[in-house]
Amino acid sequence: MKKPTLAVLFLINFARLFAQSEIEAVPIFAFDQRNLGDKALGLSLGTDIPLFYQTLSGSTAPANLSLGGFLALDLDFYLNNNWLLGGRLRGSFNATPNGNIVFLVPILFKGTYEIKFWPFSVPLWMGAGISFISFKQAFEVNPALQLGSGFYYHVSSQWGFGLNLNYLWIAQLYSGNESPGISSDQSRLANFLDIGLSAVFHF
Amino acid sequence: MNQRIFPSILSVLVILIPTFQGCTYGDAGIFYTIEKEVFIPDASDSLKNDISVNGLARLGTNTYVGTRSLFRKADGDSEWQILRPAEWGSGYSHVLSIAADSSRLYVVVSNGEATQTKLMNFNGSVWAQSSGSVSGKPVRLTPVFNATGALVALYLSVHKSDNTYAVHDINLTSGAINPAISLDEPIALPVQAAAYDGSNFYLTAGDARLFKGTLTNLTKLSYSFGADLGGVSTLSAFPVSGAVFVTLSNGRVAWSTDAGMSWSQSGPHSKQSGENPVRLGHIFVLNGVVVAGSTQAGKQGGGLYELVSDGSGGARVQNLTAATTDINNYNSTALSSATVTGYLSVSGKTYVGTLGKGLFRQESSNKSWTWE
Repeated sequence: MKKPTLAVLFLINFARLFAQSEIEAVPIFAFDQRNLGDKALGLSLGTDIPLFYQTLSGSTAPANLSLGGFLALDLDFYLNNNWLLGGRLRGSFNATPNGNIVFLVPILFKGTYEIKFWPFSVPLWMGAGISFISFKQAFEVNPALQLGSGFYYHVSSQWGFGLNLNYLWIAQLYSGNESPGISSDQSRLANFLDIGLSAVFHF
Repeated sequence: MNQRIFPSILSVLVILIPTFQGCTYGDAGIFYTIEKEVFIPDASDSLKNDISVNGLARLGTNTYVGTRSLFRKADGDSEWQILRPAEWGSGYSHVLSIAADSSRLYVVVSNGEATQTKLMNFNGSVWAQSSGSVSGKPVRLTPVFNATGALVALYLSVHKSDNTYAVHDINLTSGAINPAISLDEPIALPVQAAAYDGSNFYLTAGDARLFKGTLTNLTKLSYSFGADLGGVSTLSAFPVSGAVFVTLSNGRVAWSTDAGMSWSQSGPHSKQSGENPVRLGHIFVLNGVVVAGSTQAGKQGGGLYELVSDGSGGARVQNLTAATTDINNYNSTALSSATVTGYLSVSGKTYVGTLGKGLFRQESSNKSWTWE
């Protein structure tokens, strides 16, 4: 192709780009109507508060962990305007009295019901899955549940920002056959609370 | 939409389920361990918690610890003081090994590359180089204790040019290095441990051989232990007073009450189900119980182990119990998963050195450990 022809094509596309920008600059009506197939990607960051452990006999003990941090990534698919189905990948860390770090990485499948009153929304969700736990040389995979809620302000149809509050429950159950030092009475149900800031992007 | 989501969920589950098989369990449940963890006091700022201890010694009212450097702490002090005596000579900055008798501290020092080493001694006021002829580089001091814990001799391993080791004994009166002792087979490692039962000296060098004899003339015992040897000690404690104890690399402790003619062995101990047994090294008495230190670290089995009765006339090796330690405190220490490199008992206190995890002190009054 000759050089003059290429230059013309370039100019035409450049002009189209400006033309498109002008169209986008026109204010559009923001909405919060979702349909099957719409998706939401959320990112949360905040404080992880260890609450307590519970034995299978019901007694409780302090979690003996410091405040930690968590980061969570959510991907949800709208089934209709209010119901979503998706997953959450969360990572957190907390320190013991001697500075040993425990890492928790739950992977959850979750269902969400979203209460809407534009420009706000309140998602209520519940997830179930597994949690990877790493502490010193030990690495285990345990069942996990998480209940959560949020309060978002939507600055556009695509972007929303807000707070979230989540309760994480991890069941660390032993049969006693795992290693010589482990017995079934070491089973613990661990309880954590997450408080964080979130951003959600709809696409 | 649903046709896309549910197969995806199923696929992820299929991928994740095998991860349950990849678990690595610790000595106890994770949350249980965390629940029971207690704060371990760190008594000293000057002695770092990641040091490797290569020797512990006591002279007068001072306790000494060898790392790459030499530290001293006087009774009643809280901090360790680093020592860099000018008498060691220019370039001699690294400590390879330390030991002490009732009148002198002995320190093997080297230059930075460890191409040159020498034995220094300190009588409490003056440093001097130990006299005596050695054909090689002094590398390790090994104290020899009797059944009551009194030091009766001191061996010095010397690395020779043919990569074997000569063993010298130290004249405890003058501090000089005596001529090399006689071993009927050459050793390819420095002396690991030595003991004296009142009649015979015993010596191990980290392989499968145990030497027995007089102070200056030892021969290999013909008995086969079926494993490499760690420590050797004569201890007046369970299971049999006055026996010679040998720790083994297969997680067992062997003992003899007839000067090494016949041996009994404990059962093995594995820290993890299905894992190799814990390799045992130093053996000593802690709160009246025979205790062995691991020569490994981490999940393979670090820390200390007890030798207890198995209820049928024999003995077995097990994790420490309340008889020897405050369990929650001990399990909260880095000692519980560390390689044990030395120990020292001093009037109501026991120091245990580790490889890369610092120095720990236990007070016999409450059996709890403090990080020095």
